[in-house]
Amino acid sequence: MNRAGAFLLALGLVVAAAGETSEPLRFGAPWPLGSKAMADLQAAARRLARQTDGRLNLRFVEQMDLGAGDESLAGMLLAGESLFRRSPAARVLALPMLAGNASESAALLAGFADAMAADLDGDGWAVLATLDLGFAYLVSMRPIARPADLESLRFWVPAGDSDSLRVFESFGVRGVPLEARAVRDALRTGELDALAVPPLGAIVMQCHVEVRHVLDDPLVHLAGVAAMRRGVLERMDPTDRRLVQEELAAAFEAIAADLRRQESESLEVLILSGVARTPVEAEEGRRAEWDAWAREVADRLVAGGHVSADGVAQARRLRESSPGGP
Amino acid sequence: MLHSARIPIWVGLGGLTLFFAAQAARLRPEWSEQAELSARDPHYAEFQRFRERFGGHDHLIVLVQADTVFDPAVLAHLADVSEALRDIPLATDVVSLATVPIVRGTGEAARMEPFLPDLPPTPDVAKDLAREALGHEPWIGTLVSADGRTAAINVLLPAMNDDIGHRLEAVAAVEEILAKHRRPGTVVTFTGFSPLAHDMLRAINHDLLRFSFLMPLVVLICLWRAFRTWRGIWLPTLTVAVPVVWTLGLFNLAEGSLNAATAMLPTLVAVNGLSYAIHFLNDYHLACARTGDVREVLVGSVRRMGPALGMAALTTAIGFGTLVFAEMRSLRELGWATAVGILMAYGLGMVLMPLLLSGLPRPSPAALRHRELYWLRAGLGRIAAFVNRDRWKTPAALALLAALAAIGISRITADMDMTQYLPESMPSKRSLRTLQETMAGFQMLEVVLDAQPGTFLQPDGLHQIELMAERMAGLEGVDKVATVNDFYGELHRARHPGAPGRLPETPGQIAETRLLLASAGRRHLADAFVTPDGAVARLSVRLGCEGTAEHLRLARQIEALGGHELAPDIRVSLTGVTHLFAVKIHALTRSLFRSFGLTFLMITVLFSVLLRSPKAGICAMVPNILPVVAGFGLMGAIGISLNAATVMIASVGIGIAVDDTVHLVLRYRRERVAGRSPNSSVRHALLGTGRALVYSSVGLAAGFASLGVSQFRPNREFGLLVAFVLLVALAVDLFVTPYLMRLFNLFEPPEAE
Repeated sequence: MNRAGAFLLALGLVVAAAGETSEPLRFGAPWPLGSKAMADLQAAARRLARQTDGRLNLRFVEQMDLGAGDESLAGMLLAGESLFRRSPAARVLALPMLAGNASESAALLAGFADAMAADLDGDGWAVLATLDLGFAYLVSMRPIARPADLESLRFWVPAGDSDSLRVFESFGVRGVPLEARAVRDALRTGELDALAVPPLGAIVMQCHVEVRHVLDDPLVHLAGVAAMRRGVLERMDPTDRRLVQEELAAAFEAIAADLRRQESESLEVLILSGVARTPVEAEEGRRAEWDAWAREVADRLVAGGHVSADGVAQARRLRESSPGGP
Repeated sequence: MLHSARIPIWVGLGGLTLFFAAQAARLRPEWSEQAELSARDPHYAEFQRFRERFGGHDHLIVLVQADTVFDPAVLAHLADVSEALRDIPLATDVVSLATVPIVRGTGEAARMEPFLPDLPPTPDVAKDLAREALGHEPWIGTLVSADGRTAAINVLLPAMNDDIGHRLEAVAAVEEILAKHRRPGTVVTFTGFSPLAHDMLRAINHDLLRFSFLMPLVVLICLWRAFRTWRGIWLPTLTVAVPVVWTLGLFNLAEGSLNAATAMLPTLVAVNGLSYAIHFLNDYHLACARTGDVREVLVGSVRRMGPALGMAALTTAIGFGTLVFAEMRSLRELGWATAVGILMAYGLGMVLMPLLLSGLPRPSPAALRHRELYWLRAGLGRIAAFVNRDRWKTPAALALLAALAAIGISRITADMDMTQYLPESMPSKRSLRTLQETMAGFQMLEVVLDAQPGTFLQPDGLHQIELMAERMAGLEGVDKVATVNDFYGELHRARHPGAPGRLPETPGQIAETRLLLASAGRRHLADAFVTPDGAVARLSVRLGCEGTAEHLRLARQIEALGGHELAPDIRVSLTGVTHLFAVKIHALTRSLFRSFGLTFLMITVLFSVLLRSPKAGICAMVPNILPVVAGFGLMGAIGISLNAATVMIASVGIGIAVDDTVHLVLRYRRERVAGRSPNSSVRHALLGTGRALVYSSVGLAAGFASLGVSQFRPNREFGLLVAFVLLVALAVDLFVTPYLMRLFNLFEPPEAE
């Protein structure tokens, strides 16, 4: 081989070696970079990189607004609007007061997992894990003891989340779209009366120093799906694909479990901060009123085409047959 | 009798020696800090409670030095090294500028986020980061130096891990990682308890290798110089080797462990055994010059030397035996094993020496005369003449020696700086110096506040912590105080910018802060300072001082502060690895000092009983206490502190020195009982035993002095001090012991009465 040939071969080897350094796969998650959840995901990414000798280079990015700018992402945690937009089945799980405790929500989630996976598959996403992210609670400036108290209340709706706006309107309340950072001021100035939010979210947004009451029963179950674009997964080596699915599923499930644990602690912080509990069971017949209201809302959403009647019926069956169900 | 039964005796001794050799080969070096301390010890119990509540960490600190660590490339390097260090064995966390979170934003926008953004930052961002980090007081001295030229990566390992092997693995892993992550213009070093232990073991191994040749060589040269025959070398060597093997075998059977203290066991048994062998051989040679028959000579030597060596062995064994009352397991083990070893050295010596000599031809009187050191004999004769004439020079010299020693002792301090154990050339020691010069101090003191459950989840409790931290920070020698308020305060101030105080003001705000720390994955930082039930708080103090004396002085001040400043229902206690060892080392020094006093008393009583004269007992002990007093005086004069290593010169010094006195006193008594005058008895005793005294003392002193070339400062100090004590003991035995015996007219024969 002449010198030029040797040089070209060497150059080729260098280029080939350089080509092995993979571009990072960006994965969106709705937690700030300094959070434990994000740190756990980054640790999972490090483990994956080690296990695959650097072939899998995942980078988790903070994506608080899950509805926008997700085209460049190889994967993301779909929850709320970004999930409802892609999965009609997931909308059923967000019906108010459908699940009242962890075992009911687990049963519902398991029952709808295949339907959500099918919906997302049609949209080009492969499900890694279906997650129970806890509950949103009704926190308000004045006590909401029965459904009638909801009338004419001004409820916070995340800005740009038309889906949630529609759902809230079906509650018979007025949705007020606002950026999250404006919520506290809006509560203080009286622009808002209430919001449905996970207790930790209320504390992070500092709403807990403004609101005075929290309804004891959870209002809405929060489901999430960790998913990757099918094309990205299919391009992977089968072993790497299995590794990424296992590692990320485990990491997201651990995070979801952490969030559920923090939910009860967050409720305690609300109480210690002076927020009063409004028990659903305090008066006879109040539970029945809320159940009737929840059914009415579901019927309205079915009538409006937001959720399917079959889906609602299935959800009610699952709830009734769950170990902790009514 | 020995001669007739020599074959079964050889077989028996050989079999037992092989058995004990096999046992001795199973001894493995091990060191467990926990095993050193008794579970009943209140300080250790306090430390255990502390560990159960807060966990415990052994910091391994990597220092990154550059013109400025806030250069984009250096920050990227810091991040790479921090990331790589996460993989080292046992590491529970890695804390550095690259991993630590910071609270940014205010109000509802306040959030904890990684201090370093995506790397490498732009130069402008790096400048902003420098301003932010250098303005963040809790990080100064712990994560970054005040001048921004040094950054620390703290690798947390479990504290007081019993398995030193795992610690060494961690150190080796760090070495490997740092070798892979070299960067021009950046100096990276590391230190901490584990690297220091690693380097210390390396230094010990290096020393052991050096002394396993040097010390025996020095002793063999002395033996050759003394006897000038091969048998003068191999006979003592063999009679010493056998009891050493037996002692080590027995030590293993008794489940003893080989550690820094018990590693001295073979040396101590060997030097005492060597002394017995030299005395026996000296007596045998002297007798051979007078008598013809080997067996007759041997019987005579056994009759003369048996009681003398027995008494010497018993007194020395008692001296070491008192160590069984020491608080540390390693010293207790050293005490009983050395006592048993010395008694075995005596017993075996009294069997082996006659047996071996009975099989060898008797040295001719002409050859013995040829080999005799005439200058030594002449010198001993002159000493005898001097002692016999002297009236006031010896007491005057004694008084002068005692006065000088008293001056030295008045300047002696009890102190121990563990870091001085390592030579300056060791990398972890150099890194430690850098740490001490650029960052907060290395010594940690844990201040624990105990109160009713919930106390430290209330604003009042946090204010008590704050008060104590402020007062402690004002003490000279305190570099840094870390409390739970560092975490609470930073988050609270950012979340509530208009709040009047820096700390949460309601239980709700405290609970909120704790929750937000949890969601940031940082609750463990708060839990490391306050127990979840709020009953116990910890304040971690980094001390700028070195050495145990300064540490204990500050600890006393802090305890007093707690008593004055805190609410009466809050109890203050101090603990931590460094504190525990400072307390224990000082207690150990005191207890060794007490054990020396006990040894002295017991040997005096034993002398009085065996010599059947309290006056003789006291006279015999004066020459033994003086060298030790002189040793301590020298320590004070040249600034060597009293610590666990140097206090041992008392036991070792008296243990060896007392042998010479025993031989001299018994020989003097024999001469007096035989009817000689005091002056003649002094002359015969000095000429009869003085040669062995000089051989054994000079040989052993030379052996111990060879430790003076050790890399290890305590070894150097110990070796040179013991050599000094032995030489002073020799001088005192040659001059003072005969003087006192003559002065007090000891062992006056019955006829004279």
